[in-house]
Formats: sequence, C-alpha cells, structure tokens
Amino acid sequence: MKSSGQSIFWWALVAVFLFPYAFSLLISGGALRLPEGFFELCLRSFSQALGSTLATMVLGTLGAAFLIKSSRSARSLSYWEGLALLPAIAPSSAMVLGFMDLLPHFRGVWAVTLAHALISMGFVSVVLSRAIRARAAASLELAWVEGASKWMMWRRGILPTLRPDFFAISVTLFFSSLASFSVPLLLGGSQAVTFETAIHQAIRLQNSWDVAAALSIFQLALLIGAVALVQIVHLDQSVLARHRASVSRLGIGRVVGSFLGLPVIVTGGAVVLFSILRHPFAGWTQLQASGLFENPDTLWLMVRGALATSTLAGLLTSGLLLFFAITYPSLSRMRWMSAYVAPSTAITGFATLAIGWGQAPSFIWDVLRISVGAAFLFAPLLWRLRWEKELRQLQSQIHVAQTLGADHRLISRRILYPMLWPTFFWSGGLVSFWMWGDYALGSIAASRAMTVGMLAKSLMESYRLEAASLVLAFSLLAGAISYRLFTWGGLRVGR
Amino acid sequence: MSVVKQLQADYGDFSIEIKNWEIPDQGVTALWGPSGSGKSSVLRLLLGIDAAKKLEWDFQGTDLGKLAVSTRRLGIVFQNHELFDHMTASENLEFAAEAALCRPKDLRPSAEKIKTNLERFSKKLGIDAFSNRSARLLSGGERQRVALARALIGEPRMLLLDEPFSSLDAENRGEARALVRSVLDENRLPAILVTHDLQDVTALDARLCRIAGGRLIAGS
Repeated sequence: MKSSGQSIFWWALVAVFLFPYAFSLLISGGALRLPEGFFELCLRSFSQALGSTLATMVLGTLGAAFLIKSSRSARSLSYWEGLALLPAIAPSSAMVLGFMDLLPHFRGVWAVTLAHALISMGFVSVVLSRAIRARAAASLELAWVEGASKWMMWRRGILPTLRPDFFAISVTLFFSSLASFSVPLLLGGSQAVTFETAIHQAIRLQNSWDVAAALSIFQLALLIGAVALVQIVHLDQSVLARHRASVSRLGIGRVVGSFLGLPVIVTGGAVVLFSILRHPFAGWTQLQASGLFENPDTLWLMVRGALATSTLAGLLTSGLLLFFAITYPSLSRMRWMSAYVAPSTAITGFATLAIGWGQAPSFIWDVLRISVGAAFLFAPLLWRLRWEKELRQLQSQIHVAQTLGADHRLISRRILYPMLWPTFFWSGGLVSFWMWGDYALGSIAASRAMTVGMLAKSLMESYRLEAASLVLAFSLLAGAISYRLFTWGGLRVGR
Repeated sequence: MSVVKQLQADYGDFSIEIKNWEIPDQGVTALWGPSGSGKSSVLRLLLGIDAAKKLEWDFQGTDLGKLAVSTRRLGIVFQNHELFDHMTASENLEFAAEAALCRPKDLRPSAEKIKTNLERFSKKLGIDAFSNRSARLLSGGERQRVALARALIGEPRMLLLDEPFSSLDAENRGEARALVRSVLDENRLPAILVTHDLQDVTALDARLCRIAGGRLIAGS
C-alpha cells in the first residue's frame, strides 16, 4: 500500500523523466516544419539503423561462436569477454578516432553503420554466448550425441531456442542506432544520417527551431513505438539479464564453437586500443603546436569542466535512481522504468537549454545542463544494468520490514541506503568515466567548448588526430581515476 | 475465530477466490496444496504485500483488509527467511524492535515489553550463541530461528508461516517443527502454515484446509 508521500515522489519522478519530451512539444509552439529532403533523411536513418543492426547481429553471432569455443577455461574466457566488451564500455570517441585514423576518407551512412557494428558486436557476442551456454547447452549436447552437424545445431537448435533473445537484442540495437548521435556527428559526413544529427544541424547551424521541434516530435513517436516493443520483449530481456558466464560442462565448444569469430572479438578492442595508444610523442608535439598550452585558462577550463560535469553527472544519475528506489516502486512501476526509453541525446540536450534560459552563458549553467542531460540519458541504462535487479532482490526484505511495522524512514535508513550505497557509487563512477570522454551532449547543451571530451572532438574535426589521441588517453585515465574514487567512496560510506 | 469473508485477486491467468474462511484464534491452520495451487499467494494477500481485488478479514471486530501492511500486525516467516543480510543476527532482532515502535501506540506493546520480548526470544531460540554473526554466515537452522524471533518481537496477532521448514535438511526439520510448536503454544499465538508437506501438518497438529486452483476445497 502506497502512502500519499510516496505517490507524490513517484509522480514527481515521472514528470522529471517526461520533461525532455514535454519541453520539445512546448518549444515548438505550434510551429512545426519538416526539413527539405525529409524522405531522404528517413531513408538514410532507417537504412543506417537496419544495416547497423544486421551487421552487429551477424558479426556478434560469429563472435559468440568463438567465445563458446574458448569457454573451457574460465580465465581465458574472461579475458576474451573483456576484450570483446572494451569498445562498448569505452567512450564512443575512442572508436570514432580510431576509425578516422584508419579509414580517413570513409564517411556517410556506411561508415556510421560499420562504426556502430564495431562498437556493439563484441557486446552482442558476450550476451549471445552466455545465453547459448545457459539455455541451449543441454539440448545441443543431446543433438551432438545423436549425430547432428554443427550447421544443423545452429540452424535447428540455437536460432529457434534463442529467437526471443535475438529479437530483443535486435530491437534494442535498431533503436539505439536510430537515435545515435556521437558517432554520426563525426563520421556521418555533411548529410545527416540520423534524426539526431539533423536536429543538431537544425539548431546549431540553421537556428531552425521549428524544424528541430518537428524532427523531435517525429522521433518521439518512433521512441513511443520502441517503448511498446520493449514492453513486449521485456520478459525476454530479463531472461538475458540473468545469464551468468559459466564454463561449459561438456564439449559444447567443440560442438558449436568456431575460430571464425576471432576477428570479431579482437577487432573492436584493437581499434580502441590503437586509437588511445598511438603516437603519444607526436600527439604531444601537435598539442604544443596547436597553441593550447599558450592559453592555460582555456586548458584549465576544459579540465575543470570535465571534472565538474563528470562528478555532478555521476551524482545526479545515481541520485535520480536512488530517489526512484525510495519510492518503493511496485512491480508495475519497475516495468515502466524498464520500458522507459531515454530521450535521445539531441532531444535531451535541447531540453536542458531550459536550465538558465535567457541567462548569460556561464560555466555553472553549462555544467548544470550537461550534467542534468547526462542523468536523463544514463539513468535508464543503469537501471537496466544493475538497479532493477538490486531493487527486485530487496523487495521481499522491504515487505518483511513493512510487516514488522517499519515506516518509510526506518526502511530507507536501515535497509535501502546500506544495501544500495555500493550500487549508487558504482553507477556514479561509471557515469563519471563515460562523461570524461563525452562530447556529444556538450555540443548541444554547452555555450562553448568546455570539457576535455569536447577538446578531443575539436581536435578530431580539425584532423589533428595524434593530439586527439593523447587527449583521449588522458580523458580515459582521468575517467578511470574518477570511477575508482567513486567506488572507493562507496566502500567508505558502506563501512 | 477470525473470518476471511472475502478474498479475491487476479494474477492474469490465475485467480484467487475465497469466501468465508474461518481461522481459529488458537492453534495452527494449515493451508495445504500442491505447487501452483495459490497457497503462498493467499499468504501474501493476507499480509497485504500483494494487492487484493477484495479482502474482507474480520479479526475480532477489525477488518484487516482495510489496514496498511505495517498496521495489520501479522508476523511472517518466509521459506528462505529473508533476513537482512547486511546486519548481524542481533541487529535483525533490534530492527524488528525498532520497527514495532513505528506502529501507533494502540497497535503495539510498550517499549519495555518489546525490549523484554527481544531478550526472551533471543534466549528461548538460542540466538545468543551467534548473535554477533553476520546474517549471511548463518546456517539454515540459525536463520530460521532469527526469522522466527524477529516475527514475534512485536507481538503479532497471528503468525504466518510460508513453507518455513522446506529449506532445512531432514535432521534440522524435526527440531525446527518442535521449536515452532513450543513457541506457538507458549505464546498462545494462532498461526497459518502454508505447506505442501503433510508431515508439517501432523507435527504442528494443524487443522487442515486444502487449496487447489486458488479455491479452498476443504476445511473452510
């Protein structure tokens, strides 16, 4: 039974989460205009999203076959999985930089498609290989004993068994590619290849708010469709979330594994490492030549900006999720949260302009806008990654406490906070790590270049790639330290 | 005698519908049925942690269905005991004492009585021997004792036991049944026991109510 206070908390939270959408509707003021070439924009966006999804799924499945082949030893499997996950965990700027360096003239729809596939294929490989080991191993062993061929086991065993998982992953990939921003911003070329970049161009280059609003609303309609689809496949996603890496009992690696997927596991991580570690000395020389060091105030502004936005974004995101947790969400409210699709980067950045509206540009407003925007973008992702599971596990403890007579304050103080602090600081640390390398949100929400990620972006745009590589390496190192500090803080508070 | 005059709940493809279920004020009432018959759901609905479409439960003139979970004053021991794992055994009991004090004055014993209960049940159930041990390090039998003491400290009007012996091994199970029975007898506390094991019913000398498909089919 919910108290009125909890209901007020809940509805306040819903209002916060829906604000970016409401703002984009409000700002249009009835003046909506679709851009010229809207049909071509749709064609480019949808073909990019479809291509990214197909390429990622095909390559990810190949990678899964390799991970299954390597699953006989837990240690080697964890190394391969770590390498596979690297492109998805590192800021997307690392992949973009490596891509610009290795394929300097490749731009447009297919460049974005390939970059998306490189970022996500390792992640898909890990998820699929875990699903196969957890759900299909027993039937595959049986099929093996009965003499089925490897191809037959994939076609008649794995694919039908994991059809819901394939569907759930594909839907997620399709909509995340459709709403992608940071990758197409730098690799998309002059023509917008997603609605996101089209919105960005409309605001930043043409000052056409009516076009931006119309595109926002169109994308909103697509995202509502995504919410409905995610609702439908939600159960299957939960099944995926429960999979744990385990070493295969029998020779499942021999049965359905394949070394053909090795390049899938290695390539993404190799591109990221290459982009970070290449030419540190040349990068230093290039940075010196850029005149950046002659302007220490600007340099200090970037470091200060990154430090402030990453810390505040981490705290705000975790705070938002903790706030949700202390409303004791019912299962239906948890499902709502799981189905909630974060507004895209452009819509979010667009909405954060409401903060300090009409005020003179200042460091504080910029930090606030970027941090609030990041909280909107990362909260739903982190909810699905960890908070949902934690909160579900706490449900029965909360119920016991309620039957014992405990009030809201006692439950929060003695159960929720102590149990959720590690997760609070872990998510804050992760967001701060990502924000050190972020440039996408800042490009919309900030009045000027004011973070290290944005510095890396401007260096990439002017093709000073060695310098960009060095700045990126610095931002990753700073992000890792920031993550460590957050998790260390969590341990201290936990004690 | 308390009477569940009406209990209705809808779980989509499964529903619960119970009318005029009489529960004696003394002794154990066993809700017995196969897996999936809805017996644990009935317990959750009575506790108020699952929302019932309709619940009218006349308990000595009070309709418990109209009260919030925390003010129904029902004790619960779950199958996996649901201890607060980040606390020690004694902290679990102290939490129960603190929680009982959150209730309105007319629905709880005095602070002194709660303190006495804490000490009494701690001693009676042999918790003193491991009181400073983290809950996550306790054995199955120890966990059950803590869960039982925790449920009793606030002097519930009734104890609800959700398959409390099923996670114990055969040796501990017999001992646990005897312990629960002695605590219930000593405190003249009525209880509802959810179980699929007829040995639990016999050991606690329980009145048998059979449930299938969400409906009581015998013993109402």
